[in-house]
Amino acid sequence: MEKFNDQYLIKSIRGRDDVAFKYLQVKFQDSIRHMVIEKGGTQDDAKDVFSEGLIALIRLVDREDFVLTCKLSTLVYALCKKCWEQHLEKQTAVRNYHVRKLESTPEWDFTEETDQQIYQEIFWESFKKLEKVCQEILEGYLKEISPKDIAVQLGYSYGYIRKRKSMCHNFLMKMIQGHPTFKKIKETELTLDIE
Amino acid sequence: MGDENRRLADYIYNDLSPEELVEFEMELSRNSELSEAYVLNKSVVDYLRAKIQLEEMRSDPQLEDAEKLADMAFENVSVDTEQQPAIPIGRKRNKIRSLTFAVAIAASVAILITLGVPSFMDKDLLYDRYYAPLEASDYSQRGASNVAYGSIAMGINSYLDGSYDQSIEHFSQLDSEPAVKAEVQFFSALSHLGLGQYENAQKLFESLLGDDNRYHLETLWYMSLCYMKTGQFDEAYNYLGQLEKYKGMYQKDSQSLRRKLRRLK
Repeated sequence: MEKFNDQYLIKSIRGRDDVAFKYLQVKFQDSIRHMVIEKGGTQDDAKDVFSEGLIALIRLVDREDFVLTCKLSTLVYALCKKCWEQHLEKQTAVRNYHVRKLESTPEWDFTEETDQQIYQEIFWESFKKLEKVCQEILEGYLKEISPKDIAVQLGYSYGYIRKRKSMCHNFLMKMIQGHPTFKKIKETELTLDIE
Repeated sequence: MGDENRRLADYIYNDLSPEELVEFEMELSRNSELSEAYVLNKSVVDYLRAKIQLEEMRSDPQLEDAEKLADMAFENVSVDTEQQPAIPIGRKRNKIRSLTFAVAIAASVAILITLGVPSFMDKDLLYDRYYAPLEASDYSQRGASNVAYGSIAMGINSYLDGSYDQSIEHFSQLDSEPAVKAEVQFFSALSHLGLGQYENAQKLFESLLGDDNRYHLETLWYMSLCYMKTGQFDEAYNYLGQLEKYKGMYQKDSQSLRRKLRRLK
């Protein structure tokens, strides 16, 4: 995906350019979802919070006195965090949750959601156990820093970084797949499938 | 598979040349094992990307500036919190407002909304996730004497307020009232459960099982939780299995908890 700088995005938001909103969605929605879920919200809460955060962003950039004094990503985070705090004040999250429970919505699957949270904890735990250099290389890739720049930053050749990245990633996957809880969940899924 | 893994990592991190990319995508569409591996690898990378970004935002030295800007965005935007007072997260209680039709039975079991993610599976963690005090909904008391009914309502109100000792006290005075026996046992058991007196709760729930009572499903549910909490996983598993057969509000939770119990057994 093409990268846009913050000032360009602000200008595009003022012009209500769909591309800018799409970009913000692809770029930040997952992070905001994790924030909301980590704070006890649901996937639906996360969607609401992200939409409200974008509305607040539009309101903000439309102000004549608005000057961007931080990274746009951090601003999106701060806006969504504030939206979530307002959700909590109004207790909509809890109320909605109870309404959902009362309605016994068949689609809502607690198991999947919980398993997903457990998986993600394993992913993160395993990542933090990687060697420092592995973490730095993968983090560089995940932040979409070019491999050449990663190589320069870490003082290695491009070829080495590319090769090492694959090794680190595969080592990470082995750690995840060998994690006892991960194996247990997978085994349970298999047993249930057979039943 | 070594070379395949390397190329899979290159693919996921956008590190393939255009020719390699075409070749790999063709292989991905043909090879189901590779395609399965891709799904897991991708979900790991997507998660890490979002998590790293989130951590970066949280630790950004400019966060304070961002928060000031965020405050500006909400200036003059009315947030009507006065009409909807905040309730602490984790529990939602409905007080019984009318004593005339107040004897209550729950409509839902809420899972405590926990902050954070579990670090491992254990019975206490599962219990905390699945246990929530029963909540009241409108319910007509049928056939009970007025005196007994009034005391029951008081006992239930105490339960709903979280005053479990008081609730047990109220119910202990009604032990001999046959018309309200089921209510007395059921809410006494729930109150013991609220106090963490699992064995007392368990005995009362068990005594309810034989009777044809209107709390059958709730009894099965809370009893299963008791068994799980006291480490009697087989019993918990079996009762949840019974509960799973009933379509209704406990079916989904029973299925998912039973599934989790397999990992503890």
